[in-house]
This record gives sequence, C-alpha cells and structure tokens, in this order.
Amino acid sequence: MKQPTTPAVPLPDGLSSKKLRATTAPKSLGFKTTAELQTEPRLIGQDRAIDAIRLSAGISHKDFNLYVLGPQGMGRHSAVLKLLGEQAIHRPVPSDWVYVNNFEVAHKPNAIELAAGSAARLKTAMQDLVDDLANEIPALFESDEYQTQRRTIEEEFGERHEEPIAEFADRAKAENVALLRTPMGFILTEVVDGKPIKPEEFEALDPARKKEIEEKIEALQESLAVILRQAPQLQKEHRQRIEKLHAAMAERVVSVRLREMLDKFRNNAGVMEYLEQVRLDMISNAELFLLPENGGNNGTFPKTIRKFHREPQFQRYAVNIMVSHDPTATAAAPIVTEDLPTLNHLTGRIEHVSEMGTLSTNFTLIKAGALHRANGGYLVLDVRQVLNEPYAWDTLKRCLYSQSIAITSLADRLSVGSTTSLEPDPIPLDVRVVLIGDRRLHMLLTMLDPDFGELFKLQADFEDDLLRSVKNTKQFARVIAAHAQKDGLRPMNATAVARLLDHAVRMADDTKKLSLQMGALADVMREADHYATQANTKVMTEAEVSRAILEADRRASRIKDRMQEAITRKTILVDTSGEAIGQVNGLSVIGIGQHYFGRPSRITARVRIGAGKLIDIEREVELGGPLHSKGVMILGGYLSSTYALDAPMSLHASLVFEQSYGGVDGDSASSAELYALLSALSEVPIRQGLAVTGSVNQMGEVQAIGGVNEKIEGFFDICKARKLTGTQGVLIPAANVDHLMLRPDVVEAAKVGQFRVIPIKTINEGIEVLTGYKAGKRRSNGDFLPDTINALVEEKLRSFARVRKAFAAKPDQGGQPDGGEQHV
Amino acid sequence: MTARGTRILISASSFGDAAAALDIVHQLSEQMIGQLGGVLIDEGSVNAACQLPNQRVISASGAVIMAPSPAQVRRLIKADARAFREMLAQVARTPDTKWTFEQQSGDLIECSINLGRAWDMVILGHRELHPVPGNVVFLGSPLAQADTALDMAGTLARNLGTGLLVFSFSGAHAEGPRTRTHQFADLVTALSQLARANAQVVVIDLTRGPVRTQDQLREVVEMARCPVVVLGAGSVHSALGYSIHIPPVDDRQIG
Repeated sequence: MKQPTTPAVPLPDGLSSKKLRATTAPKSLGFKTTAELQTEPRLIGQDRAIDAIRLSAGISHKDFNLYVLGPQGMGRHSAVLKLLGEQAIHRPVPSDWVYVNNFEVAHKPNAIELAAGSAARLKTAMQDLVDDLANEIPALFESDEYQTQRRTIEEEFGERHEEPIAEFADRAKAENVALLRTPMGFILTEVVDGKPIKPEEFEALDPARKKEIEEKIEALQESLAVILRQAPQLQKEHRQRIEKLHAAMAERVVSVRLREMLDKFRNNAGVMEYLEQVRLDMISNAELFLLPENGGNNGTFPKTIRKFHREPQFQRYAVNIMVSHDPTATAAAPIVTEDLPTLNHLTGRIEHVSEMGTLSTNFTLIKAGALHRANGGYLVLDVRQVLNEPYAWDTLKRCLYSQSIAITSLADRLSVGSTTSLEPDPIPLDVRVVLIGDRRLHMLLTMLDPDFGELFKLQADFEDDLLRSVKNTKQFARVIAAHAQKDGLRPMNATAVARLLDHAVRMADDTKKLSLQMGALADVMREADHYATQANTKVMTEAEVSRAILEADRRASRIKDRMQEAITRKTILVDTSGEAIGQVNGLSVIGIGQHYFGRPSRITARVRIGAGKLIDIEREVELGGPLHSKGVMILGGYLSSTYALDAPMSLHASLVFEQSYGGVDGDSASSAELYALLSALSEVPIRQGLAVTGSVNQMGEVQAIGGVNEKIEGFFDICKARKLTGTQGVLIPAANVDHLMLRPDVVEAAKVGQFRVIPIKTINEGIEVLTGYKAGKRRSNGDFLPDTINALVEEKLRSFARVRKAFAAKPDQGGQPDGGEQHV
Repeated sequence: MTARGTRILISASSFGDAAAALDIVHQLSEQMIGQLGGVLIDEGSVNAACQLPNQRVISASGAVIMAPSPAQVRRLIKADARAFREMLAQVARTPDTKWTFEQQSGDLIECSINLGRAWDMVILGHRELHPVPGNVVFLGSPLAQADTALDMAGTLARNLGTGLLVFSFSGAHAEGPRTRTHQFADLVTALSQLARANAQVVVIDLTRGPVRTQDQLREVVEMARCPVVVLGAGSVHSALGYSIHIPPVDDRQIG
C-alpha cells in the first residue's frame, strides 16, 4: 500500500444539527390548539390546477373537457367537486328528457326534451289520460247511441249478404232447382216431383232436356259463385264501417281529454307532435280501452279508480323518464360522479324481459346512464376505471365527438346479440367531462390516443408540494385544523401540528417545501387521534403524532429490519470501520409501496493494465438499469479527461455492487464508484466508516440525488447497530443539504459528534474526506502535485500506458484493443 | 224435459251445419242442458246429386270445383261424423252431461222429426254463409201467458248480444229490450221476409204453429239459412211421412 507523503486531511465535522432537520417551531404557529383557528376549507398551493378546473367548468365551448392529474391523496376529487359545485349554481338547470313510443316504427323510440321538472308532469298527465279514457271509452261503447249505430250497420250488411242469396234461392226455386248442402259446399240439382233428380232419372232424359238442365244449372252455379265471392269484400266494407264508427266515437272523448293536455304543453313542439300521434293512435286503436273490462281484478276498490295505465296494452302510451330535474329543489347544473363507469352505466342500457321463453323489450325498458344524468352539467370519472371497462372509453369519446348519447349495448357492439333490440333517438349531449387520474395515464393517453388531446383540451396538474414560507406554514396549519374538524377529530396542540408539518416536510423530501398529500397526513392525524383516545386526552399532542408516524414506519419495516440484520450479522458484507483500497460504501434506496428505506452496499473496483476498458459488472449481467450504466460511462469520461491526457488509456477496470442480487438503477452511486476506482488506482485506502451517495458529471462535480434522508438513516442504523464510533458518517452532494429532514435520533447523534453528514461539491473534496489525503491540483507544468491522490492515479495510468506500449512493441504481440464494453 | 234439464238433439247433414248448431247450444245455460244428442244424417239426395254428370260443388268462398265421387262423399261423411262426435263430447263436458251420437241415412227433416219425438228440443244445423251476426227470430205468435219458446228465444238473443225479431201472426206483440215484432198474415209472407232477414237462429214451436208440418219446417230451414231450434217435434203427425215417401221408407230410415 502506497501512502502519500502530504499531510493527512482531518475528517470534517459535517453539517450542524440544525441543517440536518429544519423543524417547525410550535410558537411560530401562533396558536395553542387548532380549536382556536379559523379553518381553511380551500385548497392551498394548487392555484394552477384550480384555475384550470374553473376554466373547464365555466367555458362554454365544447371539448374543453378536463383531465385532473396528480397522485392519490391530494384532495383532487373533493377539490373538483367543490369547484364544479361553485360553477354549477351559475348554470341553468338542464332540460328533462323522456322516451316515448314511436307509433310508426316501434323499435325507434322518440326522445322528447322538456323544460326542467316537466317530465314527471307529462308522465302523470299521460297516465291520467289513459285512466280516464279506460273509464270513458267503454261507457261510450255501451251507450245506446253507439249500439244503435252499430246495429244499423250490422243490419245493413246482414241484408246486403242475405238479399242476393235470397234472390238466388227464389230464382233457383222458380227454375225448379234445389240447393243442397254437402260437406264440401253447395250443389245445385234439378228437382223432379219435389225431389232432387236421381242419376238414373237424369240419364233417362232426352239429350236436349239434359243439355237444357245442364246449362241452367251451370248458369245458377256461376251466379251462386259470384254471390259467395262477394262475401269477403262485403266483410271488408263492414269492418271498415265499424272501425270508422269506433274512430268517430273514440275521437270525441279522446280529443276532449287531449285538449286539456295540449293546453298544458302548448309551448313544447315535441310534446305537441307526440300528443297528436297519441290522438291518432288512440282513435284507431280504441278497442284497447275495451279490453280491461274483461280482465283485471280491482278487489274491493271501485272500477273508476283502477290504475288502467298499468295494464300491458297501455304501455304504448307510457312516458319513460330518462332524466328529470326539480328546479325548485336544486337550482344548479348536475354534477354526477360515476364510480363504476361501465358502458351501460355511462350511456344507459336497454333491458329485456322474458316473455314465454324469449327476451323482448320496449321503450319503457330504456334506462338512463351517467351521461343522461350529467347532461347539461358535469360528469366526474376516474380515468383508470373508464379505461378498465370494455368499450367505455371508446363510447365516451364517441358521445363527446357526436355530442349525443346513443345507447348501444355491449352485445350489439360485439355483434353477439340475438334478441330484439331498440334504436332509440340519440339525445343531444352537452356535458363537461372531468377525468381524474395519475400523470402516467395522462402521458400515455396523450401519446397513444390522438382523440384525447382533441376532447380533453385542459389539464389540471395538482402540485405535490407547497413552498414552506411562514405564511404558507400558518395557512397549512389551518388546513390541518379543517381536516381535523371535517373528520371529527379532537383539536391538536401547536407541538402536534408542528410535528405533523415536519412530517409533511419529510414527505416532500425538501426542507423548503411542505407535501400536499393531505390524504397521507390525514391518516396520521386519524391514527394519532386514536392514540389520544386511548390516552384519554382531550387534545392531540406531539406524542400521539410522533407515535403514529413511528408506528406507520414500524409496520412497514419488516423487510428493512431483515436487511439490516443481514448486514449487522455480516451475511451481507458492509464495513463501518477501518480502511480498504478500492472499496467504498454506497447507498441505495429500496421502495416497497409508499415506504422507502436506505440500504448500504459495498462497491468495489479492481484495476489492471488494459486497453481502456471499464467493466460495469451490473450492466454485464443485466442487473444494472440504463441510468446506472449512464453514471458509469460518465465516470469513465471523467477518468479519461482528467488523467494522463498525453497517453492512451491503458486501464482495465471492473466495478461491482457486491452482494447485489436484484436490479440496480439510478446514477446516485456513480460518485461512490469513482471513489472506489480512484482508490484502486492510487492504492490509497478509503475510510469504511463513511458511506457515499451522489452522482457525478464528467467535470467531477457531485450532483444531487433522491432519497437522501433514507440513505443517511439506512447507514446510520447499521452504524448504530454496530456502535457509533464518532468517525462514521455519510458524504452527500452539497445540493442535497436543503433536502435533509432526518430522524431526530440521527440528528441527536450528529449533535454529540457520534455521526456526521458531510456535504461534498466535487470528487476532489470527496476523495480527500474518504482517504484523508489531499486530492491534488494540476500545476502549471501540467502535473499534479506530487504525493497526492490525483498524482498517484495519473502515475498509475501512465505506468499502464508504458507497459502497454512496451508490450505492444514486442514482435509476437498483436496489441489489439479489446472490443465491446466501455472504453475510457 | 228431464228433472235435470232440457234434452237437446242436434241434427245436421254435415259437420259444418252441426258446428253452427253446437254454437247455439253454447249459448244456453249449463243448468238448462239435461242431455245432448247428435245425429248426422247422410242424405241420399246429396250422394245422388254428386253422381250427376258434370256436377259441380260451389264452396263457401265461391270456388267451383268438381263434385266428389261416391267414395269421396263416404269418406267426407265419415270424417264429418267423427268431428261432430268429438265436438259434441267436448260441448257436453262442461255441464258434465250425458250425450249420445248416431249416424242415420235419409231426409234431414224427416229423420230429425222422427228422432226428435223423444227429445225436448231439436236444433237443425245450418252453416253460416257470412260472419255478420244476425238477430234471433221467433217464428210464432207470442202468448199472453208463460211462453217457453219465446223466453228461450229471448235468452238466446241476450246471450248472443243481438236483437230478437218476433214474426207474429195473431196481432200480439212481444215486449222486451231489443225486441221487435213484425206482423204477418200468413206463413208464406213471413218466410219470404225471413229469407231476406239476417237471422242467427230461428226458434219455432211446432205445437203452436203456424209451422206444423215437415214441409213447412223444410221451408223454414231453407229460408232461414241458419240453425233452427225446434220445440214440440213430437206434435208433427206421424203419418206425415207416409204421405210424402212413396213407396214408404224402410224401418231403418225411420229409426
């Protein structure tokens, strides 16, 4: 082992405890308990999203539908409903819609638009009309007037039937011909002595007489045939006369009753047209109103109050209300949330009933969907649910494009329906759809569905966090108080709120920010309230809040504990003391659900002469992700551009995360890998009590990484388990100092000098802290200061180049460079 | 008339005629029916007429077709007899009445009267020529006292939902809803009017006249062209048959 002769660099003290955890002072909140606070019901820090929601809610142009982005627990649903509700009261109550029978084409029911609140009136009026007519029409047809007219018609037609037959009978009799009835019909035969002639008598006649008889019979046969053939025509005329009589009789009462309805709906052309169709249909089908006389049991109630409109034959006059609004109850546009947005639930469905073993349907079996209920207002949907339901997304887009609701069943869409169905009139659609979902789905829809951008022109992107200013902190405290009030929780004292705010900072991973994940914070509050109930306290304190946070962490820590146990028992090799060449403690973050924790890993580097090849073993075995590979390539670039610029890179190095059996991604270990490589090249050992995190660029600058708190705490827990020595700590990028919100026990250890967090800006700074020796700057003559880490590294690389050159000069050596991998 | 009700004989020469008569039975109350009898008369004259050269049959729809051969006539009558019998059994099932059925050869009127002597009522079947419902016609003068025949005609008119026409010869009028009385001087005039009236069923009582003989009854059936309900068949003179059929009919025809 080569030791530099320059003076050793002492281990820095690291950041002060205040820098490690920027807590909120309870006194700065300005209250003792949240009971004193005016609650803050509105969202804070979401101005951009709120403006987008308000624009979508208020703009009248079509296609300004909205996609609300953001993680769960941000209060997106409640915010959307609240903001839409504010706008809905300024919009008119939408029209009612009903489906009625299409008397001409029964499978294409007609849709009628009515003023809000009128649908129920039309339905009731039609029911009353049917009930009235079912009482009045039978009475009309029992009247003497009707009976007389009908008898007159029947007698007239009876005579018209009988008269020709009677005349024929007279003629036959006069011509001495008998009319005999046989099973097949009528036979005409000559009469002799008052009896039909017998065959032998006929044969005995002379030919002239025979011919005369035959001609006579033939003429009579033809006459009888003509008379009998006229019967169907007479029957038709008879039927038409009766129908005409029925229509004339029915029209009187139907028209009188309908006139009352026409007065009520005079301003609605659709209803007027429908009522005219009803009038014509009732007149031409008056017999429908005579049928209930024969059936039905009204029990002890008088017939006059019988609900005739419930009889199946009167279903043709029913009014199927698709959507109805009571303007006196809610003077606002509807806001509909559909939790299960299936195709049927969105556009409505056509139900069927079983009749004699077959499925049948009619317009009364059309059921409304969420689009009907939301028409004229707002429809709020969870985008994941919509996309999960077969054909729901496609149908929603189709409705928005066509601005109409057409009901098509899934069976029809798939062409598997084998029973009768309907084609109801599409109902015009004027709805603002609000989709709530995450950012990934928004991105996928934007990329993959060209219709999405057309139909959903607005996005409301919810902020994840809020700037931690004094004003915002106080406002946030009021939001917390509002949540406590809304959930029926007990008040929180200032220390409890401060602790919760600190937790919000930790969730934001930034001491300058407060997380806006109110759902997660509310969970902590509810759990703390439970502990307060157990403790029988009237006010939630810091103790309950801290316990709730710790317990939540503990519940999710089984895997973390097992990993730490493996390290402390040296199943996984991580040194926390001593020194080693080419070996450094890297830090990674493991996430399980919403819980993240840090895990130290040993990173080692080995070097030898080569052709500029840097092997990232993780990548070679496909355990390293693209970002990790990128980090390794960057450090290769740093090496090749920093050292031995006048010689070919003749290094063969390998880097590995020891005992890593899962995937590794991210470039946060690239600085650690570089340190290991520099140690290996310089042969100067690295302090194993330190762990490193941070990515590096080609200029040797250490860059910020994520999960800094978890990484520090992960290494601290290992060191603490093995006993803190005071020389242990973590090197973090200086850019991450603002993100530090460490656990109180880590802060306490740092405060007493048992653990340190050292911010690093460059690789040179880091290597000095890790090795305890100067990194060394390049002097004006182009060389590094002798006996520094950089000088040793460069010297090693030059020596490799020299050896390689000498090796290549030997006549029997090819000296071909290696192929593949990363060349530095 | 039995203790249980009226004994009714339905007489017809084809199933079509019998069915029309059974429709009339349907209109009578179950209590009224004591026993049902059915007789299908195979009229020799029909068979003979079918054998005439170039004979044609005019169907109810006015189609002119060739007359059936004797064998076909036999088959048709057999089929009609079976259908008549089944329908009679079906009609008798509802009032749970005893019923009998037989088949005879001979003249319809003569056989019906001869057989009808043992029955309270004979209904002579005649198929409908058109579907327009006609009136019930009572052919006879109303009585001042209880008039069973007129009451029956009134009951049938009510049950059929039609009017009652009374062809009176004595100047007496019948009273009742939808009842009209027409006065006639003689039977010939009345039958001439009957031929032009749309009758659904004709009711006569042979004991009261003016229809008293088989020939008159035959005239009534021909003119009415609808089922004829005959009461008092036993009052027709038994020697009447011998005055018509020369030589006399054999025993089998008399039944």
